[in-house]
Amino acid sequence: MLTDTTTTPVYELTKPDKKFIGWHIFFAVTALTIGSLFGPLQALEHAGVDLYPRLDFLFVEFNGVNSYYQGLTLHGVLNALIWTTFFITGFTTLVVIRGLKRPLAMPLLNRIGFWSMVAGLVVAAIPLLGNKATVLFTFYPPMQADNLFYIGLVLVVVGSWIEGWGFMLTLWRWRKENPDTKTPFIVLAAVINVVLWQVATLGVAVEILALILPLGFGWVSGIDPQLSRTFFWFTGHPLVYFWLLPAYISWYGMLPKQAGGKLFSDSLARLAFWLFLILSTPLGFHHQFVDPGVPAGWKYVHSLLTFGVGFPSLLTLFTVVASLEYAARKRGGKGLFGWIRALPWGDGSVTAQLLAGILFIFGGIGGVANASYNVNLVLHNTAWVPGHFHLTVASAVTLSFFGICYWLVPHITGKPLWRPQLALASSWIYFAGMLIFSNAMHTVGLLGAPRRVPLGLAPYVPSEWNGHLFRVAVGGSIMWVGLMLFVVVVAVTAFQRKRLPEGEHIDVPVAESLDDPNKAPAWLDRWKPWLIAMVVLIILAYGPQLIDQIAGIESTSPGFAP
Amino acid sequence: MATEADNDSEVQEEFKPRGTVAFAAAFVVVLLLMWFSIYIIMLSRGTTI
Repeated sequence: MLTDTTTTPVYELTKPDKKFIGWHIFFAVTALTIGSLFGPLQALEHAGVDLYPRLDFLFVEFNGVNSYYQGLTLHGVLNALIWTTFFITGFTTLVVIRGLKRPLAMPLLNRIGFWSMVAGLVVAAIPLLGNKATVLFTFYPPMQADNLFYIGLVLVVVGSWIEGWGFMLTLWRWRKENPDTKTPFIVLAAVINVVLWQVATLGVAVEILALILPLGFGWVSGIDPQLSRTFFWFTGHPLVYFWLLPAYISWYGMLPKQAGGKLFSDSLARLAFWLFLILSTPLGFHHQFVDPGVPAGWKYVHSLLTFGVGFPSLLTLFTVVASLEYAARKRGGKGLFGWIRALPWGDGSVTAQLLAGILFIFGGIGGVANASYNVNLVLHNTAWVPGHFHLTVASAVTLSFFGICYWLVPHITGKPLWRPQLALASSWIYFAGMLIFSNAMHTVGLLGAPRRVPLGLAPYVPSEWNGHLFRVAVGGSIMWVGLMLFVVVVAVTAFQRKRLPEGEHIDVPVAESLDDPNKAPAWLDRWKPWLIAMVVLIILAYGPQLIDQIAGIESTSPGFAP
Repeated sequence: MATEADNDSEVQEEFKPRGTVAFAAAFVVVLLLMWFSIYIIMLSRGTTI
């Protein structure tokens, strides 16, 4: 059985709510489908099979997809920025309404936000497809894209802010209506993620509005790449947590129920999310360890803070695994590790998330190496880095979102999951491909292979890299097959005619806690101290350097369009 | 006859996450091994001034 079916609904979202969430998922999956087309092309290129010259027929109205770098940009923007943001805002809509058991406070606000995001996607897609924004998803200045690309990104971010205001307003109203009730964990966690996003994206907003667009419109003649990078990574690292926290919401608050158990500790779960809020942002310099304009002392400070965020990550590991162990023991699991076999591995939704967690263990280990100021020098700007973030955003996040879709799409459409066995297979195939791909990328990175380079064309590739680059191609291609199976299963589920039997529906799996949430300390349900801590820590970690870099700004680098 | 609820509360009362502790310990060991293997690579490359 894939998910629980029940004839006594706990709470029904309205049809317009479900349709609204469905639009989010539609755009998210469409972006993922297009963006992922380029994944195997890059992987095959590394093995010497360059298919890009044969792609002129794609998007012919826009001059075709011409190069490795255009494909890499489309892959990064559509997968890392669009798939995630649209999915997360849709999932948050569901979590807030279902968790609070009330409608959104101002549905119109959320709709304005969503359609702004769609408008932004369309505006950014025009230069992207026309090869006028081939600047990769980090768009480091002085590389310069068509202004429409940045305007589109601004619209996507502002739209997500507006949707976020809708979620915050809804929670604020609910707290007014329920002053003596603790905020349900899944909603607290979802709104913490919303607040994290609002604060984190201030960096990239300043970068685009104050530095990049003035250059693009010709108001200034140059740009300061160092300051731009600092603003970018102010957003760039907490962006990773914006992606991860919705997966964690599912792992903490939903997966235990799907596995037949309960959340091990509601209090630990709340504490972990508050710590992510205060610790996710003030550590961006660990992405800039080789930047010449950031003093070594500040790099050490951010390195230490990055280890600080390891603490809520370990809390998450412990609490989620304990919740799963509890479920497995209830199902008859025995032994120190034998209980793992008793988990419901036949359920496609559960298995996708379990496999996501397994891959993320290695992503976390790699992250500790990335954060180490000295060890990072072995890996910096090598193929290790994309190997690492494919274990985070493309595994922990994406594979978890697959698992969520396997109950969410039936829930919002009222239709049964099409071919549950194919859903199960999609996760295993993707997992197998990722194991091969990420292992090869990490290994070849340690051997010195640079990232963001069409290695198939590079004359300096030593023979010892060849076997690993071949594995990159094989793993990347297998992943794509798994991903396409996911797309087919979700699309057929949504558009099939078959409906669930009358009176039956797929419920949102919300886990109870082993401890009583009402006995959790009151400070775990108060916003003020955590918000103050977050602001203070950001000021301490970034303030002096931002003052220094802004005071010494040197807008001397002319932009260039690659 | 024991009901499902009785079984639930029995598992809940007896539950000690021993497997989780072992799992977390294994995680830390693997983390340290992998970190030090990269550290050794770094040392083997020597200074690059």
